Amino acid sequence: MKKLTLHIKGMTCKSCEILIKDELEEHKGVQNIVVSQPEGKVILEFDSTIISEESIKEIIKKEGFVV
Amino acid sequence: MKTTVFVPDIECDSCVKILTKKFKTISAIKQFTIKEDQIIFEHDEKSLSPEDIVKTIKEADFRAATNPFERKSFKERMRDFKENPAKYALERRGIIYALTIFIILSVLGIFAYFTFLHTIPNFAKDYGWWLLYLILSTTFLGFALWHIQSYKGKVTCMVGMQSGMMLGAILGATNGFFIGAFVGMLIGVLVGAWTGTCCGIMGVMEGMMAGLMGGTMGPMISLMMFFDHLLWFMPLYMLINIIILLGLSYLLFEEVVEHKQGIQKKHIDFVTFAFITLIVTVALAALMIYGPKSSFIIGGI
Repeated sequence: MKKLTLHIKGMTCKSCEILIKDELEEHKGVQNIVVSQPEGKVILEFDSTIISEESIKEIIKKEGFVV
Repeated sequence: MKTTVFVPDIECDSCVKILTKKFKTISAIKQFTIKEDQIIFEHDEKSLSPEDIVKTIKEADFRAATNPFERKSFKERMRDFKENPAKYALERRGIIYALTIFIILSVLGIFAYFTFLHTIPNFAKDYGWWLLYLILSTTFLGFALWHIQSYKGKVTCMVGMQSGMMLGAILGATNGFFIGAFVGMLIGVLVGAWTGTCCGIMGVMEGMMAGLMGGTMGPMISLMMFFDHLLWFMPLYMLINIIILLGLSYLLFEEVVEHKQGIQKKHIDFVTFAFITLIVTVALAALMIYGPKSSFIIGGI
């Protein structure tokens, strides 16, 4: 498992945290997801044999955030 | 059945997406429209009551009710301020501007004291506190006016009264009733009229009246308390005036800004804000120290 920290722009409230977390949890290979709107960060662990870092970024970008 | 549920915490697109996802899983909801602070449902009332809908929304961690909510409490507003920095970006910027200007003015004041003001006999005793009150007044009044100026909308003209009360009281104490009332009234009326322009001629008139009253009451307070602990009274007087100014800014956000789109204007930049505040403070300080004085002033008390 690889650890990944992403800096996210565009999170304005708790719902943004929940939305990002819910979307990531729907994908296999991603776990231990921590989203912090005040810090503008997402920290997670992922299995690079199942999902790539780029795919994770795309999932977040699809919801309208800047990674 | 058509049901309107009030949901005051819909802040952004993410809130809309989360709620939309939740509602789409409920077959009894035929249609729904999410608005600024309410959601209108068409639903099968036999299998899903309005109370069930409210419960579903609450489970998603939103406040919900079939009656309109009152505005956020002070505690809720402070929590919102801490948790949603983007929503209050302009206010946060204004606070930083005001703090910076206060520091700049204080440093300039200290510099002026050690370079030439200390040569004036009894300077610290006669003017020390009053210069501090002046710097506090221009900083907080500057912030309040900057905040008002940053939004389109119907806002209060009561900052005119505060301008008169604060500046009039200070100059009334240091220069006498005539100068205090003249300056307090002039500045109060101008500020009141300017802030009242949002609301037509009546707004302007009310602003001018507020400035007139404040500008004359301020020095009157100083005059009447010369021999009755004015120096003890002033910290409390200033504190209450500052609380009122901050309260007016708070109300500006509650009444004018919250839930309204497109009313933010291009705000005055820091350099302009600092320059104007500096000019006004220096001019009033110069008037205080070197301007005409009546025989009945605070010096020596």
